[in-house]
This record gives sequence, structure tokens and C-alpha cells, in this order.
Amino acid sequence: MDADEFYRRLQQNEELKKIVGSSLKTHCQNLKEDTKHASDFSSAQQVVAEVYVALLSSFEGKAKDALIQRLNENAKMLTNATENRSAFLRSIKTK
Amino acid sequence: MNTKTDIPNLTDKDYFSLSQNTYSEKKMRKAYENKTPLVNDSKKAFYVDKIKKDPDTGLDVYVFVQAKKKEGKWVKPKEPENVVVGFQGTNQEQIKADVISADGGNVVMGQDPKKKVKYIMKKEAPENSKAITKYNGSMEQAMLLKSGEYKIVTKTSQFDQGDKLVANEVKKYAGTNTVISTTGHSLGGADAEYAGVNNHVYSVAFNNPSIVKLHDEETQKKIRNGEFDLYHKAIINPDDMVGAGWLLEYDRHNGTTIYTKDPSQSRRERIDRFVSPFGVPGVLGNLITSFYGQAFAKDPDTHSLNESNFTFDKNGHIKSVDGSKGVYNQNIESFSSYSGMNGQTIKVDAKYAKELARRLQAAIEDLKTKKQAIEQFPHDHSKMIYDVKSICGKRLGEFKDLDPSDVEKAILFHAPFVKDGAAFYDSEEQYQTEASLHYLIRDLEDISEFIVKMAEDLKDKDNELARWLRL
Repeated sequence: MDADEFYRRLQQNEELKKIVGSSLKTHCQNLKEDTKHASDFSSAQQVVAEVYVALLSSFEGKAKDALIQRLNENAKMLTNATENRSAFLRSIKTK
Repeated sequence: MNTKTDIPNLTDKDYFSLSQNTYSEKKMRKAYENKTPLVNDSKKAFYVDKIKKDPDTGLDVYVFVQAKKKEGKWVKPKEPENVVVGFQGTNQEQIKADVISADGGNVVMGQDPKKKVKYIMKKEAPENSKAITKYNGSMEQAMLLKSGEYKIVTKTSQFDQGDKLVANEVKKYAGTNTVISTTGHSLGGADAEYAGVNNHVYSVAFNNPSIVKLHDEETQKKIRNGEFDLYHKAIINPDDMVGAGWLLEYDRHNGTTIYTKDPSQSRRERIDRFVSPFGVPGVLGNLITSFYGQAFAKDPDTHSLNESNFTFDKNGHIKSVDGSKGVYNQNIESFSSYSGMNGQTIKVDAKYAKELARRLQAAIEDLKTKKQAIEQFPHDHSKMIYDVKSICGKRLGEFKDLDPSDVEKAILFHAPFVKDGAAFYDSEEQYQTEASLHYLIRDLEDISEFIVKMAEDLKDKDNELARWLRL
């Protein structure tokens, strides 16, 4: 391969990268949006928070304290799931 | 006792105006002393015929006698068309606290309304005046009584006192064409319903809590059978937790419950304002506040007896406050153009806990669907790369020195991750999301199972909680 041919290939590859990059950017963005929409569990979160409130209001004293601890565990799981999903969605990208 | 209930020819607005009057103590006292009638917007006039107060029990009652025009002047007839017993409400913060602390959401307002409480009073003091203190049988009180200057007086609750007062009015007008009815706002509305049901007189109450449980077993059964639906109207702003209940609406009031707008839309707002007293720590508290916290600072006046909570049409019927299609008759579960009480259908609500379990189960199913979307992602990602390869491969003709492997290299050039087939996402984050949803769903199923058991036997909920938490 002579120098001209090398530079021509290089130039064509750069051109191709631009085309591929642009296509990838669009497709990645679409995939991200679709996944975001398909995995949105905010309405379920709302119900869960409502369940917390309802349960907490149904008990008093030590029973309520124990319930707070137990529901805190669930709340941590819910927070983890929410944070993990956000991090995962953020990771969907091109370089 | 006469068990036939006469329906008066007064409008919702007439009752609203009379209930408002019960809060104007000075004006009422003046009207009573000067024997001047109170004329409302609909040109109906009422004399204040009686005022009864008991500062120990909170009773504040006004007996209104409808005036008649004679030769252009208002007069107080011996046989008035209507007599309305109006009950004043009480401290709003206190009643809110009572409603909130009532277990399970339905207000109980404590104890048996006929329970007797002993008070110590000066010998010459009238029985309805303020007592010195409650009688507790102490040595000091025994000494006071021994002095001969004091007496013991027994009083029941304001519910029972109001009940007896209405019974006297019924007796007074027995055999005449006078129609007796009761009205009131808040706790006063509860008094009005209680006395109304017991004395078979019509009642219209505003933002009153449910006091079905204050009645004896037999009356409660009749209430649930709808026997009083046509004669007792509770007009409720569904935003108000005193009148509507704090989470789900009350099963029922004594008669027909008329909401001034769709109650389901107001549930969330009531919850918003209810959450603040919890002071729940940690992640749980943060989560609750993140969903419900917006309204913490707000304490809108949903309870007062004013025009922002209650409006009426030209005929004096209650109408929707938000301009929507009508008021909501809870007993027939539908909107109607006005608050007529023709519905005989009895609403059988699912237990509040069962409703919770059902909603949680639906949320769990929703979460499972969302988890599937995350699981499906690697496949969608592969398809996305395939599509890009295919689209860009078609353009290879523009580059005579390049072949399909250059498209693949170009794709890799733009990939931030190269691990486990993942190029454009972090496979570790995807796995963590899938796993955390898995654990969350499993835990929520556990909570849901507990709520179902709790719903089966609400009385045993504390033991059920202990079993569930392995305490």
C-alpha cells in the first residue's frame, strides 16, 4: 500500500466514522428514550409511598417503630432500584 | 315515638346560612334578646328562640324558629313552618386531631355519647354553666362538698345533650304542622346528624365527620341499610379530611353523602397534608416527602363554612365548587346535577386495607413489566447495532477502498464500553437495575401478603404485624 492509498483509506475511514457516529447517536438516543419510557415505574413508586403512609398511620407506639424499620428496608430497595435505573439510563451513549 | 321524618321546604343554602349563624355568638345573642329576626339571602327569616351552651361539654345550640310575614312585618308564629336546631362546631384543630388519630380512618370521637361525667359546681350555679372541675373523689374535693357550698352535677356528652334538646323541640311541636330539622358544621354537623337520626328529624350537615359508630348497634344497622338516606344529608368538600376522611373516604355518614366535587381527585391532596405529622426518619421519610412533600407547607382551608368550600345554585341547591359536572352522591356512586337524595342503593365499600392490597398488587405487576423491559435491553441493543450496520453498510459504495469490516471497526470506535457484548451501555448498571428491581418486587410481595392478612382481620392487625416482623 503506497502512501497515497494509505491516506485515501484513512480519509475514507474518517468519513465512514462520521456517518456511523451520526447514525449511532440517533439510534442510541432513540433506544435510550424507548428504554426510559418502558422502564418508568414512577406510578408504582407513588402507590408504594401511599402504602407506606397508610401502613404507618395504622399503627402506633413500638409497633409503629418496628414497622418504620421494616419499611425503611423496602424504601432503600426502592431507592436503589430508582438510582440504578437512572445510572443505567445515563450509561446508554456513544463515546 | 313518631318514626316518620318530615322533609322541610328549606334549601341547602338556608341550612348553610343558619349553620354560619351559629358561629356569630354576639349577633345571635343580640337577635335573641331584641327578638329581631335574621333574614337570609332567600328572604326567609328566623328568630333565635333558644340558646343553650355548656362550656364543659362544648355544647353550643341555637333553636331557630321561622318567621312569618304579617301585614308587611315579620312575626314569630305559634306554629311556625320550620324550626331548625343549629349546632355550632368546635375548635377545628382539635377535631382534625381527633379524626387523624382515629384508628383506621373512620372517626370514632371516642366514647359512648351517653357516658356520664361528674363535675363540681357552686351550689347556686345553673347546671349548664361552667363547672369548677371534674369530680375525682379526692380528699380536697370531699372537703369542698362537705362545706355545703358545692354540688356534684352529672353531664353526658354534647351529642347526648343535643339529642335531648332536639327531643324536647319534637315534643313541643308534636301534633302541629311544624317541621323540625337540624343543621351544623364540622362537629356541630355531627351533633346535628346524631340528634337527627335519633329523633327522626331531617338534617343537613357541612364538612362533618362520620359518627356512624356513635350510634347503638341497631341504629348502625339501619344506617348501613340506608334507612336514613333520604333524611340526612352530609355536604362535604372532599378536600377536607374532617368531612371526607383522611385517606379513602368514609364508608358513609348517617344518610346521604354529597361531595362538592369528585372525591377521588381529592384523596392525594388529603394524604399530602396528612403525611407531615409522621416525622418518619431515614430513606423512608425522604421517599415519602419526595412524593408527598410538596404540600407539607400548605394547609389550605378546606374545612371552613364559607363560599370557597360551598356554593349554591339559584334554587339554593349545593353545586360543584370546581365548575365540574355536578356534585357527587356517594350513596349512588354518581354525579347528579343537584343534591337530591333519591338514591336508595347502598354503597358497600371494600375494606380500606383490601383496597390498599389491590393497588399494591397492581403496582407490583407494573414493576414486573418494567423489569422485563430492562431484561429485554441487551436484545434491543444488539438490534440497534445491527440496524446501524445495515444502514451504514448500504453506503459502502461511496467508499471504494472500504469493506464491511470497516463499518464494524467504526462502530467499535464510537463504543464507550466493550464488555459482554455491551458496546453502548454499561452492562454492570443494567444488571444492577435488574437485580434491584427483582429484590424490590420480592419485598413488596411480602408487604402485600401482610396487608392482605391484615385486611382479613383488622382487629388483630397488631398481632399480625408482630408475626410478620417476627417480633
